[in-house]
Amino acid sequence: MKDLAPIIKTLLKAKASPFLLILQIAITFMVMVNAVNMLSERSKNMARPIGVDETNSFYIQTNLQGESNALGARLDEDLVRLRALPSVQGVTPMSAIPLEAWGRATLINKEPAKVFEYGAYFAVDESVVEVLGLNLIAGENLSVEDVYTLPMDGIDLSTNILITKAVAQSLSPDDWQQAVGMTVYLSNDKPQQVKGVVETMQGPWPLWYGVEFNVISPLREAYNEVRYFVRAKPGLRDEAMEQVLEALLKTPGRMIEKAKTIETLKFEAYQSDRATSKLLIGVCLGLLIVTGLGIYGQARFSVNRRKRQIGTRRALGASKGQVMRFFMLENAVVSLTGLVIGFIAALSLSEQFSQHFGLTPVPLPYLLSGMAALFVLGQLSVSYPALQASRVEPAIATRSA
Amino acid sequence: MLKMTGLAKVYLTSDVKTQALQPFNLSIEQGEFVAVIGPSGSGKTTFLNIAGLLENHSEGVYELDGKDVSTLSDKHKSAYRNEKIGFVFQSFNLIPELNLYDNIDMPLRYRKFTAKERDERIMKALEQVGLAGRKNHYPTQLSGGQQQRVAIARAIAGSPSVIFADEPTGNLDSKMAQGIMSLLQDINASGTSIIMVTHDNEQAQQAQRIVQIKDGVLSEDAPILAQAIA
Amino acid sequence: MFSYYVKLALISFKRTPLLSFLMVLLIAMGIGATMTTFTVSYMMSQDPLPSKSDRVFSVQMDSRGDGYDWGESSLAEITYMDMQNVINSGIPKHHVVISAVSTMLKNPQQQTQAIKSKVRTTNADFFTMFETPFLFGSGWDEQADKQAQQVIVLTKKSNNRFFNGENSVGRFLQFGDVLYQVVGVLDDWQLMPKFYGVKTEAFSEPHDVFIPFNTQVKNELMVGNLVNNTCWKSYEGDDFAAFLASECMWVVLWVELDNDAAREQYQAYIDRYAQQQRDHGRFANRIYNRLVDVKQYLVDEEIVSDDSKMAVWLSVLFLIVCLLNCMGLMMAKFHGKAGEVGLRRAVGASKQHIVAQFSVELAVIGFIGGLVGLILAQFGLAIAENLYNYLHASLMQMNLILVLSTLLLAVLVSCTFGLLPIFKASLTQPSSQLKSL
Repeated sequence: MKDLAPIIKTLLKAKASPFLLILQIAITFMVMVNAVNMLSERSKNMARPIGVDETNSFYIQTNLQGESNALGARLDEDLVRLRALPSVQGVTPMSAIPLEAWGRATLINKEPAKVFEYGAYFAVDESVVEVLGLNLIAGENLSVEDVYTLPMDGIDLSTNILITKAVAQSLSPDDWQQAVGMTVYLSNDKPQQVKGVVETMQGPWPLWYGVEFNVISPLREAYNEVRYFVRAKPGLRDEAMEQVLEALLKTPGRMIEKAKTIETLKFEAYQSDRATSKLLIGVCLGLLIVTGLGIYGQARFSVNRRKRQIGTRRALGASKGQVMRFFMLENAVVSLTGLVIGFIAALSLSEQFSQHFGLTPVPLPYLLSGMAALFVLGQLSVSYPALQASRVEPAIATRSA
Repeated sequence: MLKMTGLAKVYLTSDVKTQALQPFNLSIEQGEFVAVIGPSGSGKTTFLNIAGLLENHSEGVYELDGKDVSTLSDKHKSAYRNEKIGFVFQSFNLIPELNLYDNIDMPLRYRKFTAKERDERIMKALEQVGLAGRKNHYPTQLSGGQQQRVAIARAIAGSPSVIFADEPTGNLDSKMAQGIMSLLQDINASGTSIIMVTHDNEQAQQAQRIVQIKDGVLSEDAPILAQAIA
Repeated sequence: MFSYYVKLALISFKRTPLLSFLMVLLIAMGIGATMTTFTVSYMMSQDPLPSKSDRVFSVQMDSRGDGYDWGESSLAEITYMDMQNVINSGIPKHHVVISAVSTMLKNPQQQTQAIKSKVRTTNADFFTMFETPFLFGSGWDEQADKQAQQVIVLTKKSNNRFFNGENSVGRFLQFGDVLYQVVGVLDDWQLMPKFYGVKTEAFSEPHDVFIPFNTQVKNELMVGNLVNNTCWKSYEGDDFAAFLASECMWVVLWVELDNDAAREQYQAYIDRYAQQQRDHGRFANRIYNRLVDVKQYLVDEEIVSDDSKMAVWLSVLFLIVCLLNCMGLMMAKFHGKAGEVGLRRAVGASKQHIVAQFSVELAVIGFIGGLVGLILAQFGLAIAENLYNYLHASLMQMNLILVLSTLLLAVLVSCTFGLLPIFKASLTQPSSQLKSL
């Protein structure tokens, strides 16, 4: 530690070069911790469960043909045909599919016409819990008696409904189980009875704050456009998709708008997040490499420039270890200064990001481990030039230039 | 041409004051060949640096062509060095990655010469030092004596009125040294003043005047000495 | 003098190849990254209609009932009723109605399998207002709009698909199970961003075919998920007429207004209209009519994503780190040249000469760095194209302006970050370095 005072003295004298490194380390740190924070936030989003059986399911968007009062019968024909397929475990018509980015938003009010909460609305049939693989955690499942078939928007009826746990917690913050049996009002102000609560089922818009707030209503909407959510028997998804498409296409005039596995749907829903994540990783790697090289280069340069000085020190009795320690310590001083400045900068950038892009601020453990990581990077980068410095021969001092 | 009155140089570091040159008077006329002698560390180079406008003096008045140099800006001094002064150094100070032609071209680039004028001057200077055929060679391809000739060509290419030479033969053997000395004599003969720092008494004898510096004190030997030898 | 300095710069490059190479590499990496992200963001935020983007407006009316305040974003569409009611004002030069359906299309003479296609439903003014280029034929006329004729305009791509690129004007395309007659085939045409439809398709190709909006209505073709449809109030009845008469907001309306006077006149017109509707019990939430020009529309709809803006900032910071690093190398480089500086100063170069020489040297390095950076940016853009494969590939292409600004930026930043090293080098005392070079 007795080297510390002379190190600081030389650093202050040299000014420019160490200052550049300090700045570089500060910016690298600032960008890195914020980028890692964003990365983890995105991967947390992507890791959230949809709530449905992701691996064995797919959905089809297709058309029903005929006069509107005949569409209910067409829907039944399709369902009977599809449910009879050997590879299919279950089928339910759905008015929207989780993460599809298309669906119906709704108010979820405790009293008529008094805005309480926003969420998404799903119209399905009674088999929804089994077919999607939802986890019913309170109340009762829907039954055939609850179901209505309508040619148009079903939101107008009063029915028994299922809600997600997030909605239940919002309706009854003290004890979410109390939500069972409650009456809620959706956008049309018709009373709906909460029959059961499912643990999770994500809504159509993955980045919406209301993604977990969903209402499931037993209404078969026989539009000219329908979606079938199909769950295949385990391991038979692709086969089931083929069979389902084949069965549907037997109807003349059939139009298949979409046929997609839930895995693909999820993959596409987060494609921009994934792209940004990769970009963030790229920026972090680039920064680490450049900063590491920068520290290495500066150290080499300063060793070369101070060869004579090092030789003289060696001649005057400094050990190899002492010379090496000098350079390591010098880097430690520079790194720490940079990291302290970077710490402050990172906090303010994080503040900016959370204001402008709605990100959560960087948590303290990230900051601390980021500091540790960059400090180690600095020490590693300087170790080779420091080793070279320790190998400078004392004889160089007596040689003329 | 060059008049120094009460000139002195003091180096000030944070806690030490070093009197590099004690106050002295000196004047040198156009066309003179002056040798400055003295042991190493006596202040010869400091004297030369001040005289050649490479360094500022700390006391006294230095008039060059009747102008007080302390009134000149850095830019004017640069221009003055470029046009009126030529330098020859002990270690030649050629730029290794430039060929002879470009080395001699260097000072001319800082003047408003046309390409043709520069070319004429460079070729003339190279001829004068006897290296016209090697203009595309690089300094490392030449012997020390030849390198010093290039340096002299660089000094005279701009037709200066005075050449400052700092131990021009210090790195050369005596045969090469003699060649350089006679080259300097020739240049002097054509009217250019030469002020040469040396620690070699024999060479100093070839000058018209000898100025001695010892421990920062400048004194002038009798000019008769030089005349006697001539 | 400039060419002399360039020559010296190149000689210096050769003298310290590793150092110079590292400097070039650092600048190239920073510039490459910055220009990759900037290109994407720049291409995204281009003016799609440079000739008239300030004269084309989205007509937005808040026709919702009392208490419905779901934010501005759901206001880009208006109801069918309101569109019908304001479209005959005569004030705008052009009205363009925008919606979309999807259908199965085939050439009845040549193909057995119909292809699922996206259909843009609009009106005759679409082709005149957006000045679409035609390969064959033209857009349909107002008569076709009025009579809801079964006419169709194809993109070049779908003409290649259904008619092998031949002049298909006058021929028929099977649309579901009815026939539509081709009246025109577009040449290559892409608005970037394609602002007129839904936000999620702003960076994808135009829909495959175009038919009159009135034909969609007459044939009762339901809009699907190609259109935003906000129904804040449910409606009586379950037929198409009920849907048309509903408060559902699903029609996009664009108008071209020639000047400020026309704009004010039109604003007054729709305000008056809204007030009339309010008197009849509609527009209960508020009177909130907006004419949003294209540029503002792009901002409102957040067409350029936050992510792409953030990427630019990150890469700029990366560039700064690269340049700080480079600055250290410049110091080292100029430090090694102290002898040369001293000599040049001695033989008469002024400080300005030294500054000029080193500035040119850094500019040359910056220029080379810019060139290499351009190459790196092309790689970066190829990666971006892969990464953002859901966006239109033309976003990942540099135009001439971007290429030139890459080089300019590289030279500029190199010199800016070189100011301090250059300044330090110019302070070298002429006398200090001459004893031993």
